[in-house]
Amino acid sequence: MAGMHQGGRLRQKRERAIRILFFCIALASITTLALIVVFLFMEGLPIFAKVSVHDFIFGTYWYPTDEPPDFGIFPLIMASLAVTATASLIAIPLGVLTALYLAEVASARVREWVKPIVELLAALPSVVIGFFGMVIVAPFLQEILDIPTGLNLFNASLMLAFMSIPTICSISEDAIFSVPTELKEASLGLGATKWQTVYRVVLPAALPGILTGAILGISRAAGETAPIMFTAAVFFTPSLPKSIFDEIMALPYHVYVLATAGTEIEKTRHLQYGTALVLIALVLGLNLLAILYRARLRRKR
Amino acid sequence: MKNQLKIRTNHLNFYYADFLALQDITLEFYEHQTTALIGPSGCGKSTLLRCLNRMNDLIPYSRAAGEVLLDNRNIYDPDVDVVTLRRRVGMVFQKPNPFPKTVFENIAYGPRVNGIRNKAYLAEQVEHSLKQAAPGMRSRIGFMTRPWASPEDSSSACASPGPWQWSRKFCSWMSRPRRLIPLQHRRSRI
Repeated sequence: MAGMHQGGRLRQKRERAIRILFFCIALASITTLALIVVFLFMEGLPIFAKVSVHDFIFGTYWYPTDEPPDFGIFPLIMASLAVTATASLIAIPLGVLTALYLAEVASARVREWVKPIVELLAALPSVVIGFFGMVIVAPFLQEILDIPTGLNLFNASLMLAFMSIPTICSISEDAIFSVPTELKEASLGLGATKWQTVYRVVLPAALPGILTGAILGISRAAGETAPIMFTAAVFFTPSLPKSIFDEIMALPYHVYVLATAGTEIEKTRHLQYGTALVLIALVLGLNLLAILYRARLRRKR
Repeated sequence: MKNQLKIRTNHLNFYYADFLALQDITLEFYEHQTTALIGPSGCGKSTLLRCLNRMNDLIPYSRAAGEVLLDNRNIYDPDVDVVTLRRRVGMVFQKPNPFPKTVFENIAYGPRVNGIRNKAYLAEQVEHSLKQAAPGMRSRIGFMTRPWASPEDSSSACASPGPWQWSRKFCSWMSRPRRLIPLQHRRSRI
């Protein structure tokens, strides 16, 4: 009987130790992210001595060699938002409907083959996708739509959508598949058809998971550089893009060019930090919005 | 006067893949009558019930051999509309499984998927159901959704064992215009 107490105390210590270990590991991940953001912030702050925050974010001109220099990255922000939005419009419906097909319509054998193939698509290197966009999709678009160039925002959105669809599909499919059978049976038992069950019971129940898939897929697209490098981004355009068939300046590409091929790399270092900071703020902001919305959905049930 | 024969199984055999779960079942269920299926766990009661409204169709690699006749028509005929069948032959589940929606939406679900859109009518029916049940537990939502699945009064109902007091009360209320097949493990609870 005395042994009972002793064993208990040792076990408690061990449990506590494991809990602390897991906490430290999680802390490490979060700390890394926080450090990157803080570092960028500190290094990027000096640029706001040269140009006000307002002018940097909302200024529409990028003429660093002018006197006084113009450092407006508004076109880049707008372009990044536009390309992400267009890519989402393409990728989310396609991804979720594919997931629905796999989870609800496809037979077990079809599912066994198609799901791994979709997941394999996620492994395509982004450079390859960008290259494909440049050499195949661009001439195709140019011909079919009769526009001056196939290298534009639309092309970039297509390629980014291509990259996001596997992620969205895979995670949404897991979510839809995990809806408990009892809910589906309850609905069917009341005389609902299969499709009534899907859109009244299954999809609402799977919504948080589908949102997760969408968030992950789209944030991947928002930050990618390679596809847009090949297909849409140019270093300088004189004005905001007027249609989706224009070329754009884009945030990730801008950082790349400034850091590697700009005329005065060291001197513009804080510009690079500033642009990177805006890019991070954008992506993190989008993610945060989506996560908050998902949390709200979860709390409602 | 003898009650009408409503459902009849005719040498029904049911397989889960290669496993023969129901062996040569021939049973008769009469209108305005409560028929109880009693047996130990795993003997096939739920399987039989699920055969009566073809809920077993949802289970992959399962098949039924033999006939189940509702009003003298085999429900396993290829030209039978399963959705209509389930609107006529309802089911109360053993484990309460309400939808993750509001109580109103849970109760109104049945009529809604059967095409009833009139909000006033729905509200009236929901209120009627709520008055009949004691204030809210999940399993009671289960009982409340069942009667309103179909506007047809002569629909039959199958029931699995819920908390037995509610089952009994529910059964006696239900079995007036309908016919009921409850499931139990012990005779005394019927």
